[in-house]
Amino acid sequence: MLLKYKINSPLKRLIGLLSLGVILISLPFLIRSPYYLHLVIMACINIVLAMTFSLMFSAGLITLGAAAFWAIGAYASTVLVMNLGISFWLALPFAGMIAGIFAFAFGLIIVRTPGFIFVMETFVINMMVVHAFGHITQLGGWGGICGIPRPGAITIPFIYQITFATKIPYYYLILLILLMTVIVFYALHSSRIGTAWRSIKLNPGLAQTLGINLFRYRVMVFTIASAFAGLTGSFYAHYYETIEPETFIIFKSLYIQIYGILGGLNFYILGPTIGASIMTFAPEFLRITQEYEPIYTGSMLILLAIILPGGILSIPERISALSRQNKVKKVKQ
Amino acid sequence: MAMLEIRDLNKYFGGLAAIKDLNLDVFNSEIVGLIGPNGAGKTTFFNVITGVYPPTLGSVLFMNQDITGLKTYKIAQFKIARNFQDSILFMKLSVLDNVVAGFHGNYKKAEWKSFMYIPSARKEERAAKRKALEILEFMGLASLKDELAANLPHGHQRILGICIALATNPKLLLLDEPATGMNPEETSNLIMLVKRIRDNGITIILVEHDMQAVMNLCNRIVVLNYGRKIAEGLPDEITKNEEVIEAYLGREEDYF
Amino acid sequence: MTTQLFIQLLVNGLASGMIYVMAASGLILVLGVARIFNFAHGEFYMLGAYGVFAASILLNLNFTLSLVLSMVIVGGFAALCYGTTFHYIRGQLLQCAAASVGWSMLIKQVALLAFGTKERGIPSVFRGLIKIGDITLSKERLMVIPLCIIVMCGLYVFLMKTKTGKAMRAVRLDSEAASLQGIDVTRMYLVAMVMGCTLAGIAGGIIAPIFSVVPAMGHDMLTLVLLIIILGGAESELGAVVGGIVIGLFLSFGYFFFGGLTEVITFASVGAILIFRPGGLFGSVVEV
Repeated sequence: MLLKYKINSPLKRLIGLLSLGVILISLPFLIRSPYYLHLVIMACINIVLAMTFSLMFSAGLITLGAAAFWAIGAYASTVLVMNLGISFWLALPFAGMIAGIFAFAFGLIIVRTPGFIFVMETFVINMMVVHAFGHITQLGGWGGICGIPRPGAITIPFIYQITFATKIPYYYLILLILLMTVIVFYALHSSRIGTAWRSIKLNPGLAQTLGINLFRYRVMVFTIASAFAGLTGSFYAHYYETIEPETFIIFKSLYIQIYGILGGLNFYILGPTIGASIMTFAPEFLRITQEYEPIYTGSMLILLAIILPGGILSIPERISALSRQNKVKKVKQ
Repeated sequence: MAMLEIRDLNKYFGGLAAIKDLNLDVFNSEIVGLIGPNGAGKTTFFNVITGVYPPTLGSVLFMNQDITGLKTYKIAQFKIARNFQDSILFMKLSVLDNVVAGFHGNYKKAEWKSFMYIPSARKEERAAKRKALEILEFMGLASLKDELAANLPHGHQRILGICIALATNPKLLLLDEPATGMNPEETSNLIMLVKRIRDNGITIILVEHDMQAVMNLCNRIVVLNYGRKIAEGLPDEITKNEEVIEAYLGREEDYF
Repeated sequence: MTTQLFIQLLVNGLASGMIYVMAASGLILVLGVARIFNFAHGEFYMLGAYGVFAASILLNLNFTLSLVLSMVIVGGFAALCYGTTFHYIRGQLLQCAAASVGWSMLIKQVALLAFGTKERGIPSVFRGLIKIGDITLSKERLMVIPLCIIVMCGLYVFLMKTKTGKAMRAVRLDSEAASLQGIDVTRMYLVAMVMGCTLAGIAGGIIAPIFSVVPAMGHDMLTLVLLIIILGGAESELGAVVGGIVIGLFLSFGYFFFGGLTEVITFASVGAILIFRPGGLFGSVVEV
């Protein structure tokens, strides 16, 4: 289920998309504060990461290693730009590819054992990657790398030169990356590949008898998801201008998982969007007192897990199920 | 030349012989019945052929190609399909989506073309959906096409399992006790459907306990007991075969 | 390497190893019997440590009483968590993960607010050094080992000999069959959670005199415990014991030889082992 709540009238859809587009484009000018714009940018990053989790989940793989590939992309891009002098605009896709290659290599080994063992193995990979970056002094060790250069300016002939001096160009860049991810992932989910993934998730044994090569599709989803995580890593490195291993620890992977769960695991695009947004913005708005925020966020997580195990997007379904129950009761009376 | 040639097939689990020295030929367009008391090795036989596990010894040739010990998904590519004793379906999908899923191996256009929204690929997928509907109509489930597979009654679930197998466009169909749990009416319906499938050019190996179905459908019958083939022949011959009767009389169930 | 150093590293390794074993066994109980993925397990370890600290320093109880009181508090809190949360989402791996992360945030922040970031600790229980032949060892660290062994033996006896223990093992093997046999499965889940978390709490309590107690200590313990479970095999207690001791010893000797690189090598080794034995040393693999 991708965009389950389809608005049927094409005119309404067009109006909806256009309004959304207008809001998204004008957002930096509506939000004056750079701090809130930073939040929006972080939310976009988290949404992409959450979508990579959902992509793998759609094939039945639960990963606790998304942050590791985010890290690989970030460090790869940093090295490419700072040590090899490559332009950010080239480093961005390369970082994604490098992350994808690592995922491919790992995947060949660990995808053979799906299920709980796979989760644990991604956990180990995440720990390995973080500690490896922490110990390689050439990569800054635990202190990380700072002073990462901003993306190079884009010159549109005769019109304008876009420099990354403020947060605003960054916002548009991450928005572009987010949109591209949504399009690519949507295309994947709605294609035959997505059908194969879902078959594997629902019933791997049956999928095999239909000619689906489980190994191949699992490695595929792992590689693609991790490549996009790596891509986002590159953006993050040149946005934040600092990266350190602490950022990519296992708890980040856990949070990424929660972004997916919170929104609704059955919604591969909308779910991560909502889940990541809530988890990015809520702690800020719950910062009533600096000290109590984790308590509120934690409580929110607990409550949501109990009341809405299907995530936020399961609310309409629950309401209709309840109303169906009520109708039955009324009929019985 | 036989479509399926089984030579000296043996399958041991530890020290236990589930299949012993089995030789069998299955010819094009026939329905071969595989019967025997419970535990005779019939489902093991299916599992070995479809690559669930490899045989300990022996070989399986399909259309003159050695498929012994190949993985399940590879064997599916040879167009051998099966259903399962326990309804193995995509429970959370609709009936129609279940059958469409079966088309996976039949698309001619490459996968990435589907991803890129290339029209010819997407057109193929729409055609698959239509064919899926045809199969459902063929098997009598069309009216339930949007129903969740999990919500179907047991008998319908079994037929859905066969539909999914049919969607793979098989040359050889292995039916594992499709009539289990069906009442006489459903069984008669099933018999008619299986006949139709064979008439469409699909070779069938049928494992069944329901003798009505077996007698009505099978050109030949092979009898297994304790993993060994104890008899093979026309249905009438088998019912009179003393060894066969003894094998069954040794059990509690009343088969004949 | 001198014998003194070797024995010291050995004792340290075994001591921390046994602590890991206790904490890991606790999580295996929660995971295996109650099927709850508790990412807050480290926080119960931390609570146990703070409990002993509070009882010792604030209430002036001796160590044994502090430990007992801490156990009761941790166990009670675990029951609370179970009753309010995990009872409803038990068995759903991902929802449990989310809820337990929520609890982890909550508990850690409460501890932070209550005790601050300052490193806490209690004075040594077993003061001084002990001399065995030529070797001088810290009594405190040495005593950790028999203490843990006692607890683990108690656990073993409980699981193997008592009615409740056997019932729990039955539930772990097949909860449906167990309930058909008349076992109150829900109660078993509760007991498993309480026991598992309390084990972690005891581990925390035992090390309170040795290491500093900070709110963040749960996180590091959790990652180690998870690593041990991966190494040993998720369903295997023997795996937890062997894994815990192996990791404890490996880290202890490893720091001497490899310094900071030890952790990377540990993770890489576990990863390598997983390639050849995906289910862990003692686990079983279901491959599809």
